[in-house]
Amino acid sequence: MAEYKIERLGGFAGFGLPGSHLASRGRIAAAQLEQQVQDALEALFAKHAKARRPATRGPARDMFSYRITRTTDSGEQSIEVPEADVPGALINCIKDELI
Amino acid sequence: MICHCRIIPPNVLERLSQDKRLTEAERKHFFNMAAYEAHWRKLRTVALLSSSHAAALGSMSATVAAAAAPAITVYNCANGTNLPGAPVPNPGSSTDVTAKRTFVETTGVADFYRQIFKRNSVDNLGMTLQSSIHYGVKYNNAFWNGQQMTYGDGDGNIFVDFTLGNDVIAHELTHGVTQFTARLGYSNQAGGLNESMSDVFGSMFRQWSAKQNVKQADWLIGSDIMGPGAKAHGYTCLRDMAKPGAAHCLAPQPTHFSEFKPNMDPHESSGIPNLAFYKAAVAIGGYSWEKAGQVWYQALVAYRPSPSMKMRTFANRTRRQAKLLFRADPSVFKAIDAAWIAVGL
Ligand SMILES: [Zn+2]
Repeated sequence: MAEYKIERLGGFAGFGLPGSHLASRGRIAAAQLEQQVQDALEALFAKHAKARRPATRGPARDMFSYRITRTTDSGEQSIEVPEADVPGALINCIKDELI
Repeated sequence: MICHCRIIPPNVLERLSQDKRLTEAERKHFFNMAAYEAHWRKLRTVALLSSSHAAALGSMSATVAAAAAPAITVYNCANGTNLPGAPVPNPGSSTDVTAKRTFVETTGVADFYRQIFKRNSVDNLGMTLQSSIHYGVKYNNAFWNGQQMTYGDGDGNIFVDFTLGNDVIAHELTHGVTQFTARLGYSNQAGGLNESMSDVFGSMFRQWSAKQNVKQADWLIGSDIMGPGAKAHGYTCLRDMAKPGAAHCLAPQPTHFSEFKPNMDPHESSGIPNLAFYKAAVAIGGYSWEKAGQVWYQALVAYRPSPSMKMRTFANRTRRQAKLLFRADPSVFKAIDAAWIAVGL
């Protein structure tokens, strides 16, 4: 069964950096997401799989990016995307924590 | 020089900004005009300006723009994520303490840049300083989106309201200054320099507000936004400019250029130039913004944009500026030179 893992990265505080004591992670089964959200994620993976490098961030500074990993029968695939591209339903399943 | 820049096409302004036959001051003027033009068009397009601001901008010459103090505006996202949110009327006397604090501290940062560095807002042309507060739900972040500042309330455990850190506010606003000056990128060495500029001027503003000299200052970044959960674990800050690798930092950083790796996140690699500034300022003594700060500011603003700047290039600019600005006091150059050498640059 397909599952999505999501990790929040960067920001002013530096989430998820090597040595950082801040982490923010979550996971959710694809079946728990509305079809519309699943379609949006499908499109997001297709768009970023084609890109040779992560999308440039323009002039934005200290904004979060997110690593989304999709696990299916055929293996794992990860993309890194800016906050604006991530469906809210996926962001809602993560929790900021001290590690 | 008076330049009614809105009748000169942007490509001509760009060319004039690089014309070696003009003086440095004239080239810089045209560079600023080109940046201003692009910025004004963008603001007009996304309708960020109220009609009164737009009317005022439309009629002002560059000279007038340079003289006008920036307007400070605050918007309330009310826990949503649509920017800018609803305008807060008279934020300076708002009953929302976050709105009032954001207005007061942003005004303070504008005053700091004006008084200490003779800079009029982030673009040096009096650009409106717009902030959005209460962004998202328990949002543990603050950011600059290229046009404005945005602050989350924090989750109340790891972080509290991000506007409680006046270094955070100055950090975000300084991203705007960097955007309009050196235009440092956000990856590799330029990214680390970009983040460091924001920490350096953020810390300097916090020291200036508290009238602290380099010995009285704690050199911590984000210490005022640490929540009870973070404090209970012994974390007193996000970053420590004096001890970037210390255990009390939520996000420890490297302390020497030999530890730099390409593609390091800018919030990590900024520890190297942060430590150089700390060492230079402490060796010089007094108030950080009087000498070390002046040198760092000129190294940031007095050159053509360098989106891919290397840390060594920036270090050498500060060496050059130290000699130019403090010709009669060679101890400033010596302190800055020794500080960069200590971090491997
Ligand atoms: Zn930053």
